[in-house]
Amino acid sequence: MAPEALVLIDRHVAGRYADATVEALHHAAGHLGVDLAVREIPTAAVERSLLAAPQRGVVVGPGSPYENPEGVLGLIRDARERGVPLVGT
Amino acid sequence: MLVEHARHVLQISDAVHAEYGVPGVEVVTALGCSLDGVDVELAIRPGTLLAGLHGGARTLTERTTCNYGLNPAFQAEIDASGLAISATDDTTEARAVERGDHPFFLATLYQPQLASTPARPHPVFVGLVAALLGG
Repeated sequence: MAPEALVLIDRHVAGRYADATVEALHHAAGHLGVDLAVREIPTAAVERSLLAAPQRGVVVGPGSPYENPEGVLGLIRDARERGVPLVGT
Repeated sequence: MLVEHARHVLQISDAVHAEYGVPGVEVVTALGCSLDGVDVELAIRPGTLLAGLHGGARTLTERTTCNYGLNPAFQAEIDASGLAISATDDTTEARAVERGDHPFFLATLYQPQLASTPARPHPVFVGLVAALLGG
């Protein structure tokens, strides 16, 4: 599977920050010459199985309060415990 | 990330973010003054992941939109328990935290994506993408 970055963000709250986050990932991938998939995930749709595939990374986006804060906390915990790269902004 | 660390590493089971308005220990609190939409000068802690991403820089200017931050009462405890404070602002309050025992685990209380351009991608995002390739 292709490398993929998951962006946890509630677009209706985060507004322009959602676009800026997705674009920043593409800027980084372009700089590194990597074909990176970027998938935006509303917090209500967060599932722990999202981290099952290799070459996954997570951005916990700006724009709180989240619709599903407990789901976001669970995914952060999994990323911490399983060594999945994660940035929170 | 701060609330997750407080709940599961520090075992503060009722740690909360003040913005949600639920009872509990407010590990994340409203800032004394709003930092919404302003540039902040940060001091970077040498030897951290963040310092490495910025080529060893000691200071940094970043755009922030945060009105909440780490409760200063927990700053020393958080730092000593595996989530190191890697940047502080001019009030010495935490603006970035990271884990040293993890491939890439970084939280910024500013928004690096706002400073990223195709010609100058932000080092935090370059670092994340480089790290996920190794996973």
